[in-house]
Amino acid sequence: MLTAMKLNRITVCVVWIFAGGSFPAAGAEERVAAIPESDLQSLLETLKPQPRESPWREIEWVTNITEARRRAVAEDKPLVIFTAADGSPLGRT
Amino acid sequence: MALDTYFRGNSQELEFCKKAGAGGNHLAAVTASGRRLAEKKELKLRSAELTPVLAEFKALPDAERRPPLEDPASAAPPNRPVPQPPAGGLIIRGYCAYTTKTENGKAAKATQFYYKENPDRWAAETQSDMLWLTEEEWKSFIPADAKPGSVSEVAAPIRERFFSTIGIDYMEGSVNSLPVRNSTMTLTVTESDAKGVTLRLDGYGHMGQPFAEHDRNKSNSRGCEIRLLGKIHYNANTRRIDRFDIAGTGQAWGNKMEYVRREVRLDEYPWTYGTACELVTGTSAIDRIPPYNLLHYGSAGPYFKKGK
Repeated sequence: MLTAMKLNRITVCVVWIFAGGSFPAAGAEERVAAIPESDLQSLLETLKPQPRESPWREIEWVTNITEARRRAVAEDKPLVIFTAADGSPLGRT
Repeated sequence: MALDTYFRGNSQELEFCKKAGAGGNHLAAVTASGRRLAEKKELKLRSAELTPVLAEFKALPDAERRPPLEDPASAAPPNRPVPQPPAGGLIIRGYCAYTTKTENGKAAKATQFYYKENPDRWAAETQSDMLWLTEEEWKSFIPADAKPGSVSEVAAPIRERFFSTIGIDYMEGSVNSLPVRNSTMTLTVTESDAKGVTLRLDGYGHMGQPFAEHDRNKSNSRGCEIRLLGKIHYNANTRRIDRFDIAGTGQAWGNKMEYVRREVRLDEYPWTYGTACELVTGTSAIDRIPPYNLLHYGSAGPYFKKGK
């Protein structure tokens, strides 16, 4: 026997469906909690590279070969070439 | 000099790379003519390895150290030119790091290692990648009638570019983009006056495969979710965006070893990661590195898609 509460639930459900409602898409549930606005600055500072974490990033790399060779001749210095085969070594690689 | 060896340049630069043996993933020391120095030693960016290189270089005759260089005007253009940032566009640098939680529940950077059981293990560094926006795209962020409280949705091509490329966990480096299953990214005007407009960005993205504990080691099981919070400022005097700060916290899962050989084995599952983004000027070479997924080995299709 349907109780009054169950009938109310069915009515609500039917009205909702006819009103164009839809169930959340599979996978649309959110696993990650909200970030409080007061945490923004500290989170940015936490996630960026820390001082001395990657000292090689602090080098003023040249990415143009002709420019690098010209500077090596002008400054009488050797070249150190840092290569990566699947992206720049200065980026994601 | 830092070089992506898929983009070695014009005919002279290509010839120089061949002579110098500049290919693959390594460090090499050479003269401007391409003569190798310390050829039989494994080079590292440490004074212990570089000091002898300098001594070897100094011992060379002047003609070897300072050779005449070819006229660049006679070079054939590169077969594959390095992409340049869009004129008038924005260059954003993103960082990616594994995270953990502090005692008070806040996100903190986690220290992880490549091959952690190996005595020669080394710490996984924060990774970085770039995001490029065209002038038309970033201008779409600024409402014509910027009243505090007004809300707008970021255009789908920008939203999807962000989430699929720098919104994912790319701590193992050269991992391809992940398709976006579902995402939102809204901008709310928080302040607006004669000096400019401040916007708060809120976003959430579902990328790759949905989470499933039992799929942990299956191929094509990578997936992640990330929540974003950001602050963007448009300077009315310069008519440019002068702040673009976005932070994100996320969870990632799936077969980490699908695309890469460098392993960071994580005990936590799903594991947590975060992203931080900032505006860069584009004046240095490191600022002008193309976004990983703009290049030919990207997997998300055209980088600059049109649409709303």
